Amino acid sequence: MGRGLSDTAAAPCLKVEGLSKRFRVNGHHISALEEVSFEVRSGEVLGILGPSGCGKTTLLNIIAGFLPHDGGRVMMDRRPVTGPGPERGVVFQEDALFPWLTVAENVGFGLRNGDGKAGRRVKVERMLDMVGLEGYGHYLPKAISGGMKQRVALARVLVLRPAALLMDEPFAALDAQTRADMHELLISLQRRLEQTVVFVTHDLEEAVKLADRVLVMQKSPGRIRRDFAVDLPRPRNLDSPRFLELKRSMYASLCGQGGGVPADG
Amino acid sequence: MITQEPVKSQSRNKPMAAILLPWLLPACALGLWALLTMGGLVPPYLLPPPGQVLDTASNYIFAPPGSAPFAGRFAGDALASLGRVGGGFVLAVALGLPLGLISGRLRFMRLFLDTFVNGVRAVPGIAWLPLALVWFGIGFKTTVFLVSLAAFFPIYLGAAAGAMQINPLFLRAGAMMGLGKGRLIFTVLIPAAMPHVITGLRLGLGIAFAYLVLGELTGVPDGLGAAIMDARMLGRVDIIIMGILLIAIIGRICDLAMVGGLKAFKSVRRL
Repeated sequence: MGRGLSDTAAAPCLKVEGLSKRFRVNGHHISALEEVSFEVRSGEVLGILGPSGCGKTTLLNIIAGFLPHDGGRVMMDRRPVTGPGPERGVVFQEDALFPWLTVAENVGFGLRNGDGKAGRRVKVERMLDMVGLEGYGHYLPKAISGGMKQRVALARVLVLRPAALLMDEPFAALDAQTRADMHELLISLQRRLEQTVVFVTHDLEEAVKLADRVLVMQKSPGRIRRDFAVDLPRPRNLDSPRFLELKRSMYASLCGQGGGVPADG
Repeated sequence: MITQEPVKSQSRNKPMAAILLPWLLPACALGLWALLTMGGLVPPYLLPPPGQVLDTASNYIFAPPGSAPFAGRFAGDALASLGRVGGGFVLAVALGLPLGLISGRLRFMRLFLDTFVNGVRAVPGIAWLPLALVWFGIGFKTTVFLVSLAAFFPIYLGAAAGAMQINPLFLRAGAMMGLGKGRLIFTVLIPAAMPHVITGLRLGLGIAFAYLVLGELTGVPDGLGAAIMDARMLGRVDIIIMGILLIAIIGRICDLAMVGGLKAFKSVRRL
């Protein structure tokens, strides 16, 4: 993964510094995020794990540029994030494909005219092959299953070669078997493209299975409680003692125990 | 995993029921009309039989102009009426669609527009007629004004509802894939709002015909509404009924043509 590559490739791709975000609810200010800082190296898979309401989705939305923040900054490849952009592709939790476009048209949606029609078609075809949807290009989203929709959602951002792939509980709505298939697909694509990934989840096992590093968050106020390195070789054995141990200590951390070692950024 | 057929193989062969069903109700109405008139239950000066109205219509449509009152007036009347409906409707779309989309997306625009628009909407079109006559005189401008005023509201409300109810993730998804505000409007906002937009356009076109006749009742020399009004003066009930039927037919054709034309958009075709 990222840390095995040369120094330049392992440079921080995404840098979050002292980020804070407040919401006003019924006249009261609620601190959704407080002093959140971390870095993501190029090619790294970072999981953000936390209970619901800890601000993990808010954090992802700020990184994506969908929400403004109140303090601190988000730097993407040394430039501050000011709004959404194709270098930060987002896969949403729910189906957000355009229902009036076919699978292939959805995947080609963000491609620029500069590629030419034929060039775009080649890129789309190749991407559909990569996510295992060859032959489904002319289907409408309503005609395919939930798992296939998330494959399309993945394909339409990966085809733009984003510097970072951001995912907000992208597999939460899928059944267990489909979710496991999607995990495998994601990991194989990630390795093939050396893709930097930041994903949000409330699923412990998903976090340990997919991530190189896991940030465990706490709520009110939303903060990073601990930063776990997942030092497991891939493919990962979900029954290995180390895997179970990591799950246990992350669970303890989620519940507010585990020594309360604060993240040092 | 597949729950439906691919897009391309859409049903081309309609079953018989689908072809016949739309005509069942018109056929029943015609049957009832024939029964009432030919059975002598209703006197012809109140409701002439279908055959007489058909004769009147063929005279109105095909006979050489001037050979009899109303003979051959159809082409001129229909063109005049369609021009007025078209002009008023285009004006209503040009104003209602953008304003509706904006007020559906931007809260301050909604607050800014809603009270005024809904206040004006509460005034029935007939109440505008005297004022329109003072401002624009009898004829084209008054009718276009009434038609556009009436058609504006459903178009505006449809566009506003459509823009308000779109999945906000669609706009985020579009922005995330690198689209600017302008392209987002045309590639995401309008297609996503399309179901409500179409409903508004269809209601608007329907009401455009209603106000067309109102505008033409005021004494213009040509138009389908004018023909109906002239016929009332002359006591020609057959012409009145023929006019009503012709407006129904033309209105339906215009509706079909508009919906068919809108199918150029994927977001309509794949509704």
